[in-house]
Amino acid sequence: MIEIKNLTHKYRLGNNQEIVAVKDLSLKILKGEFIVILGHNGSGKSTLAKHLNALLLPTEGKVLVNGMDTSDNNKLWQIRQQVGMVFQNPDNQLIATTVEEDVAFGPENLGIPPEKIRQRVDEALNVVGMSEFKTRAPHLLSGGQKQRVAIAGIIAMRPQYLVLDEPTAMLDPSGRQEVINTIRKLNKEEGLTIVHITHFMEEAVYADRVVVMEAGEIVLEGKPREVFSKVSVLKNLGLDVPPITELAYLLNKEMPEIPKDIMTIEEMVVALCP
Amino acid sequence: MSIVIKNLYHTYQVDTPYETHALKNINLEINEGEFIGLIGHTGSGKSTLVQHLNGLLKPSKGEILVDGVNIGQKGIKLKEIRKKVGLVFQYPEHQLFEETVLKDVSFGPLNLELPEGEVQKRVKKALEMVNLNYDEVKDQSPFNLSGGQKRRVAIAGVLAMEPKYLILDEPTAGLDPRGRDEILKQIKYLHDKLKITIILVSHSMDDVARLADRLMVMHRGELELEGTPREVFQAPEKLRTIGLDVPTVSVLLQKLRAKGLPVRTDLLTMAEAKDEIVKVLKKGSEIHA
Amino acid sequence: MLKDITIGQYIPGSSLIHQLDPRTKILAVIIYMTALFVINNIIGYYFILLFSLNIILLSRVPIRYYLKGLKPLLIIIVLTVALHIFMTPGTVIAEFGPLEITKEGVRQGVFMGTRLILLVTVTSVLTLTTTPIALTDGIERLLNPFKRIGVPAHELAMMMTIALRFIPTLIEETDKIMKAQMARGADFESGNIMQRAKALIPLLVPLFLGAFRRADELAMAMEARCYRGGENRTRMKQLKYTSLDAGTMFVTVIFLAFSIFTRFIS
Repeated sequence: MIEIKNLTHKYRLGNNQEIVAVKDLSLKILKGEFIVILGHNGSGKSTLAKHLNALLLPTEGKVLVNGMDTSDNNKLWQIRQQVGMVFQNPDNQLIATTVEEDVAFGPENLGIPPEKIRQRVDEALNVVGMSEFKTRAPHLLSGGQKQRVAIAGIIAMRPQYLVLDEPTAMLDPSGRQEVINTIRKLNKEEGLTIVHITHFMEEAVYADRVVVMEAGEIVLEGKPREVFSKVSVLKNLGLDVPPITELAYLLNKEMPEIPKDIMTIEEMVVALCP
Repeated sequence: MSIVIKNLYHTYQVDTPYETHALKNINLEINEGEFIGLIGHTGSGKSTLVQHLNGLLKPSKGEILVDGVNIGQKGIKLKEIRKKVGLVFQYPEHQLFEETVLKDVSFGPLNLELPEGEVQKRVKKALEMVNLNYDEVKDQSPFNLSGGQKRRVAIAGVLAMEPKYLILDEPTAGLDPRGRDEILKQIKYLHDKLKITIILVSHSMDDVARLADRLMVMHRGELELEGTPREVFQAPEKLRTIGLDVPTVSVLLQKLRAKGLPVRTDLLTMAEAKDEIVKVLKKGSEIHA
Repeated sequence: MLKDITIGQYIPGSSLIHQLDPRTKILAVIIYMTALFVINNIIGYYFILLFSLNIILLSRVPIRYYLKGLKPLLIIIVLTVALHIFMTPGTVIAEFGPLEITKEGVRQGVFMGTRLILLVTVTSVLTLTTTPIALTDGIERLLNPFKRIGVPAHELAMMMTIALRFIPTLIEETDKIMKAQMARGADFESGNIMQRAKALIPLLVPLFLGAFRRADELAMAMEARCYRGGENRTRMKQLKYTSLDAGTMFVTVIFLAFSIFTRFIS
């Protein structure tokens, strides 16, 4: 379990100004959970994410990963092994000149014996469906493929938690779909805990829990269905509502017999053509 | 007046094992005042195509006419063409380089060797066109602005050349919904109020569907489909086979119709769809009653 | 345009040379270079030419790749040869106005030309038959013993890897920024040297800023993947020193000895 207790994070700007990026935030992330954190740019969601593996340390409050305090320097590498992180820009997180060498980078840093690294690399590439590209140079891959390699590089470290900081923001629709399918599979089949940060609403449909952030605080939390049905709140926060939920909301105003919390096209078809 | 493309081919790395045909036999016409949506997934050739329109890339075969002038002919001043056809690249904020917003936006007009006063006037106008306050931002460093603001400064840098045709390559890439809506609203304003011809390159069907008069769908270097959004979205199977999304509205309406609900399927927005569904359902219940 | 450039080009293959440990190849190239500069007479040159030709054939890499590698250096080679032909004092054999060609000059020119061509070609054997990763790995292992005297072997190798990884990305980015500025009427092709240098600012500033941004993000990603320098680090691919390598080293050392010996023949 990751426990965030009253976390506050302040950035100091050059001119002695302070920016509070995360404000007194508490959240528990359970093992095996698929949690989506939504919010627009500047809502503090990325700052929050970087606290989960001690890339940033709290100004106030605590973050505990399986009981280990992220500010405890002795536990740093253990925490980073257990909480893997994938970033936004697919180009700026691949280090080596071939796919397999890149996936090996993490295990190599952990000091795993060579034969075992080979095995982990092959497994990880297999899970994300990139085995056939293992000797390719990363710059020749598509955006979605690069992100899958980045994910493989993390799971080769055998973490318990996978934090993805806007992994789809720079991808085209098919690349986004590739990444979403991969992380859903990791959650369902490998039992990996997923913390997925995004501003694309439709990616939150599959989550167990959705957390909406604004100005460094949690403003909405619950199952996707509960969160999405608050159409006007989401709109005021500058977030999209999935088109189907928006339609349900509009229809419900005129025909109250149609439920407001419809999330997919199939559900809508059933509601309208019983 | 228009941009006309005739039998355009573009081949990368000719005579090597890496030879790729980025564009194959493209024929199209873009009329003044239109709002064109150019759609296709990554690698479909849409970025290669738009770089031909202002002479950044030379055709391997075929010709491009801008307002009747063949831009491939000898002695043509490409600067003149680039003044007429503005191109905003993907992530345009990455091209900012000056110390102040004012200086950066002046770069284009200064390259056109316009007099000082005219440059100043154009910068002011361009910044206002992207909804930035000239007096507030002109002396700021562009690097201290927010992501969305940086992008708008970069777009202003192209607008200051006062192009008649404006091409935007994925102008909303990487922005959050709020940033995206602001940019799209601004582009709509440029088209509707300032009468600039717009060519919007995008892979987001939902964005272009609401804005464009005409869509051009590219696939593997070819122009695969062309028509009004309503026409193009009538072919959802075709769009899906070439790896593109179909707007949710179209999918829903088509499914409803297949289930026996007699709704129109050529609607583009959720508001339209709501009205249609309510109308059909109410009519249905009247008949039953 | 810029996209056509290929750097550190590796031609896959399974020749004898391909199979060698990168450390062997690097050491052999160093020894070869030493020999090349030791040799000073016609017998030595015959001998080294024969030796080099053998290596090139053994590599099974098509000759055109070697020629391609020489092409950018053509001007330097021609210039060097010409300088030696015309500038060496000695017995005059021909005259063109103020220019004199001497016998010694011709000899010296041909020697220098051959030396340069061989140097480039045999170094190309190394880069054409070794993947960039193997090369970096080889350099790191070879430098390892010098760690004690403060040579940052691991850091150097990591820097090389990252450079190799990002060269194509940066080339692409250069191309894009150049086009973006050209779309705003920038002109990179005309004007005098000063004007051209100034025209590069709109290209270089965004390029540097972009590189710094990348470096920043990359450092963060590396830290997140538990990177903490070379300490306790293992490698997936181990280098193997085989009898083939031992044999190659033996032949190369004999070759060096013979090259030194040729100095004393005539």
